[in-house]
Amino acid sequence: MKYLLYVTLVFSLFSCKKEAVETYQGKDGVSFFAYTYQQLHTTATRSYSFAFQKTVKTRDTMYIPMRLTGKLSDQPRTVLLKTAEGTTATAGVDFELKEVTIPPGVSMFNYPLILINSVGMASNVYKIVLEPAETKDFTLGTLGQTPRTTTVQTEENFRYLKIEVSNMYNRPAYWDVLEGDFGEFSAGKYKFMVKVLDITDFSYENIGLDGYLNFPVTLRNALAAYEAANGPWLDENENSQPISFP
Amino acid sequence: MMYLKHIFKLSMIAAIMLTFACSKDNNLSKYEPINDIKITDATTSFTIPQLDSLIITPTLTETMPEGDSFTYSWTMDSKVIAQSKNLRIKVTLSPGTYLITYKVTSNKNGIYALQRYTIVVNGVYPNGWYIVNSKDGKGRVSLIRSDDVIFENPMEVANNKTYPGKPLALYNFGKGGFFYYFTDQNVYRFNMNDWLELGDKSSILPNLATPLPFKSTPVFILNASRFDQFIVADGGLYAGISGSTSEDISPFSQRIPGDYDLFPGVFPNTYDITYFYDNANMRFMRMGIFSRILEDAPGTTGSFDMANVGRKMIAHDRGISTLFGEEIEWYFIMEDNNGRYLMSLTYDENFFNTKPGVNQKMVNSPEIASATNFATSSIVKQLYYTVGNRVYLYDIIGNSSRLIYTFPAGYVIKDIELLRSTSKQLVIGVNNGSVGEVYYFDIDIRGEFSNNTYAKKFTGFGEIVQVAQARQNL
Repeated sequence: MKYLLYVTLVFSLFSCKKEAVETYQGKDGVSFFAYTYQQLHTTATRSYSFAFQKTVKTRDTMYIPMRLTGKLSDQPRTVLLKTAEGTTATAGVDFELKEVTIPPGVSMFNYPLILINSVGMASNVYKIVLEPAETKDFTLGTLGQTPRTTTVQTEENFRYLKIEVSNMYNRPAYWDVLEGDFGEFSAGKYKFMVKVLDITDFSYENIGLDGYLNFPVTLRNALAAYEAANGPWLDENENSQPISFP
Repeated sequence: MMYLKHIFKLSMIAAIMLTFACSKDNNLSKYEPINDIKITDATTSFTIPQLDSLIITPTLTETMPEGDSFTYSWTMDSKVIAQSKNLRIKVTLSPGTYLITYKVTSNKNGIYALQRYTIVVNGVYPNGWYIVNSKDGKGRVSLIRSDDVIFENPMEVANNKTYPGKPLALYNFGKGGFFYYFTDQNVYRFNMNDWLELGDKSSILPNLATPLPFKSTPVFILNASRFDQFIVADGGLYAGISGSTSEDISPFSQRIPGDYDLFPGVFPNTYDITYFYDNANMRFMRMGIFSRILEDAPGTTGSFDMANVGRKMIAHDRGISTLFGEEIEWYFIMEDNNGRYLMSLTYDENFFNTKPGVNQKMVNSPEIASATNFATSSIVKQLYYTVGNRVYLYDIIGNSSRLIYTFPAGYVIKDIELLRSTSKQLVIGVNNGSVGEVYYFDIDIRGEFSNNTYAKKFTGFGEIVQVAQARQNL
């Protein structure tokens, strides 16, 4: 009992001590990343069509923005994606997923997804649903939304990314945004746009607000000039309707 | 028993130690008088133009000056910018408000005094009047700064290059602080604070329908919400996104398609709708915000039908506008075979849309048929117009005009502009041959010039093309 008191006394002398701050220890994570408005974590789908390219390609690379959670490393590390439920494309035939090495000190990077212009794509739209796979360096990263500030858009870290790939002139998912100012999608209209504007990706991310507002003006003028010289630019469907912009 | 006593004693000691473990220091130190320093400046706020010298000479008072010396530091954004007693620096900061902290530390005992100064940096060329003129066959823009200092050709000085071509027009805009300068060969964008060039036709109007030169004087303005910007050039409309800073240049669209020939004027009305006037079909047209479709204005009842005016637009200017730059009243000088008319668009507060305002043939107004310059007041129903060297005042309600000023023979008035913020000053650019002069007239309660003469006169310009206020857009 006495000793206990002595011990208490000694403890009392040293009672006010600073605590060491515990830090989180664990495997670093990796996740997809997009701005919230892109809705890629919820409803939106990224789409790619070999038909929408300027030249005929057998393979192409789609770059997928990803973000690390956890500590930065001074060593190169490897990232791998795997397919998840809902995938209708065939690995090795329609696409390839490879382990990629990211450089030291990087927190955000683009994962290169290889798309292959397969025979089936001429008449099918294939779905690829991706999620990060466990590697020796990474597990699934922290998910969720960044806080909104006055200058920065909210961003999402998310687990599943949906991609549609084909070799057909299918209405791209991004056309939802364009519909009002560019009018309904059609293969003929798309070809006319590529001819006039000399680009193939008309997603808002690529053309920006200036393109979104200025391109329809350019297209209306170009179509008027084309029609004056050659007559209507016909769409490539059964009815062959002339294309128009609103 | 002994044992318990020990326990009791030890418990007491422990309790006492715990009670006093975190005690306050005993303030038993002896006070000695020390040198107390104070910075006693009455002025702690300075406003200076960019690139000028900022000089601050603080006043220090000491209670025991003998034997003490000091270390000084001037800090801005936690960066030491000087270590001298007085501050003397050339200001290279961008226009804005800055805080500078002055710290005086005693070398004897480390005691220090602090003072914070507020520095407002203005552009070199902040406010005043732009005088677009042509000297020795070369276009230039001079500035009469609000302190009446004249800069003959800041554009060339700031950018160390020449700007060839016949000068046509200048339009400036306070938000982001830029202005466009049109010559017959190019269009340039400048930062209005330092006049550094930000871009030219290749970045501003890459899609111009006709190759330059412009056949007529272009106009530029932003819409009321300031998201869209418009240029009317050679009858065609070009639209773009305004960008939030002067450096943020967005290319204008191609000519908006359509069968029209616009009068060089843009009339923002609400945050959403901006009007234009088609001199080919003699009717108003309009465009919604972020729309790139120029459509005919819908028909209106009232004093006239906006969809079918049937007169040619000659000139325009602003009337009354609200604090937010919305719901502006626009005045128009119109013409048909029977004469000239004053017409206007106003805002209908009850129905939240635009409605025709005044529509009257201008009568009892000498020389109105050959008038070339017009300026309307934003506070009273009055309008100034000029013919040759003569200035007339038109009373809108009375529908009659009177001559209020005549420049000497041989002078030709080129441009007139009211100081929009007050409508109490009329600025006139007048040419005597190829020599330009600028006059400021103060306007009295009747709308006439105070003492029937000018308040200020500025000379030394080449042939004047335009006077434009360095100010906010609307």
